[in-house]
Amino acid sequence: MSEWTPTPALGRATVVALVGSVGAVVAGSPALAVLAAPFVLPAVLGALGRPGTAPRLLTRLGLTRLHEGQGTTSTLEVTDLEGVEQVTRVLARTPYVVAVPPSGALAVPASPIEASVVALGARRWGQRPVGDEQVALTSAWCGYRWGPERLPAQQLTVWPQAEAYDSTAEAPQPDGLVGAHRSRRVGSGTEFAGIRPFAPGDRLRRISWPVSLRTGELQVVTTRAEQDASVLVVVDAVRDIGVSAGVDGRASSLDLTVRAASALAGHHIRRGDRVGMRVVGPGHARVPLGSGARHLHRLTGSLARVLPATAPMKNETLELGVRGGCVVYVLSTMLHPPLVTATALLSARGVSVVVIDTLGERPIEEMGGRTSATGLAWRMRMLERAAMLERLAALGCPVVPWQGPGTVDVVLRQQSRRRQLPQVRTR
Amino acid sequence: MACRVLVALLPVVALLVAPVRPSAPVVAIVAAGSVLWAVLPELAAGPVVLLSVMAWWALAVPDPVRPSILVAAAALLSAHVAGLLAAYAPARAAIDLRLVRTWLGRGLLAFVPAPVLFLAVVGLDGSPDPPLMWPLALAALALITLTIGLLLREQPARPSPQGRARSVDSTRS
Repeated sequence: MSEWTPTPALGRATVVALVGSVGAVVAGSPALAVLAAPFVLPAVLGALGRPGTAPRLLTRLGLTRLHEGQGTTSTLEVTDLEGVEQVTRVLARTPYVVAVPPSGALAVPASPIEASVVALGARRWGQRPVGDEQVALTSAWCGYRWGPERLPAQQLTVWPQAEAYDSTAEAPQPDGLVGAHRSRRVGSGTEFAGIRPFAPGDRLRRISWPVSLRTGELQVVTTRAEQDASVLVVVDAVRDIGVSAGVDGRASSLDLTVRAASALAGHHIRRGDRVGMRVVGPGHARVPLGSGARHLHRLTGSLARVLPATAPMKNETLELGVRGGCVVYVLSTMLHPPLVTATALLSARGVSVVVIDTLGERPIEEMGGRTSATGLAWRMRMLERAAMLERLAALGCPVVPWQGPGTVDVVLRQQSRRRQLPQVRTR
Repeated sequence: MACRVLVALLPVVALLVAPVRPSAPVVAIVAAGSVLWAVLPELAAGPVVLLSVMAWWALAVPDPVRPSILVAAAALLSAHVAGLLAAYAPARAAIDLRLVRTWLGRGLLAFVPAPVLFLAVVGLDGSPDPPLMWPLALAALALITLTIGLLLREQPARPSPQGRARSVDSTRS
């Protein structure tokens, strides 16, 4: 529990005033009296200004959940400001959280207390502890100080950037009841499929009267059914390659992965699809298939909790838990062999798998140059990876680098066409 | 940062404005103490530096009651105010301009007794000391000391009568 204690400034003024005055009287020195005189008033008024209250301090975040790039405020609340002249706040620095003032420390008059508001901006997705700070209150003439009192941090959940993403491609394996994707089977949709002779059970409103008149017998228009799709987003959090510079700067591989996963999930949820997620990495988070805004909230929340592995992961067999009729997006750097194997197995089973390469451009200079030991090791690793991706593509599993909107359009259309051909699957 | 620079410089300025040139060791000691005070504004180096300069003025300067002593007094007071402002927050924090303006005004107010005392000393110079002057001054000092001592006693802070009423609300109302 804090209490009002004399400040060093009050002690200094008091000591100088007293010692100077006593010295002047004892030694009969007018010079000492003149030099000590200016310290008398700060000492006396500082000592008289002791507040009699016991203020309680509390900080409050304006928002506890926000997207990267957005901002909030940290407001200090003080019970009973009587006698308090000045407020000092010193916030601990948090990675990827910027503050205004930039130092995260301010000393302002206590009235109005709104002047002590610190603005905070989140520069990267994740869980960010903010508000771990020291707060001190000072009385009039800097006589007494309350604190510094340590206030605990609060958790700020930063969702990945709500990147504008859209795709015109349909899911290759729509398997639900209703949705936005055109099915291969005929049903009660709006997309024209063909015209055939009337059969018992056909609805009268489906009869095409112009064609019936021309042919002399009743003809009906058939349409394709419209279905939703199941989409599984696999997030590779085994490694984070590169250094993240926040939302406006260079992106690490995990930045690309998480932002791409967020964009894809948001896109498919908006289209009415059922989306699930599997995180390959620490925690192995799983979000079952679901749809709707509430489910999207759950998905982005899980993405905000993704942490890269800090210890090497074992090369154990991965089971992604994919059932038939599901489109699988594997967002990965493809540097973790078990994930590559699991992807190849899924593709061989006839599941629509799209690998989205989130390694990004990594200049060799970052590794110390082409001839450095790290650079050589990196180049060898990239050669191995390129060979692995070629083998994956040969199995019919497309690999595309993440490029924002339209990244998967071409490959999804190719897969839709391929679905219409007879296939031999590996069980 | 500017406050810390002033803390480091002003005590040396208070030495250099004296009518006699201070010896190099004295300047070095005061400068070292001032830098230490500037780096750690809450350290006890502050009063030591101020008292050292005052002692040097009283002991080493012959006939110190000249106008330059007012400059020295202003420099010492400014160093104290700058140290006080520097101690409000870490060096990385920017001090609010309203606080600086408040303390400029207070500094000017606090400085007023110095020229008054200087003029009184100059006016009384040459006349014989009244017989009761020094005993009265000693008694006045003792009274001031006693008063300050009583005020500085530790007092338990009483709880706020307003409970958890938010200060924001109280300032708005």
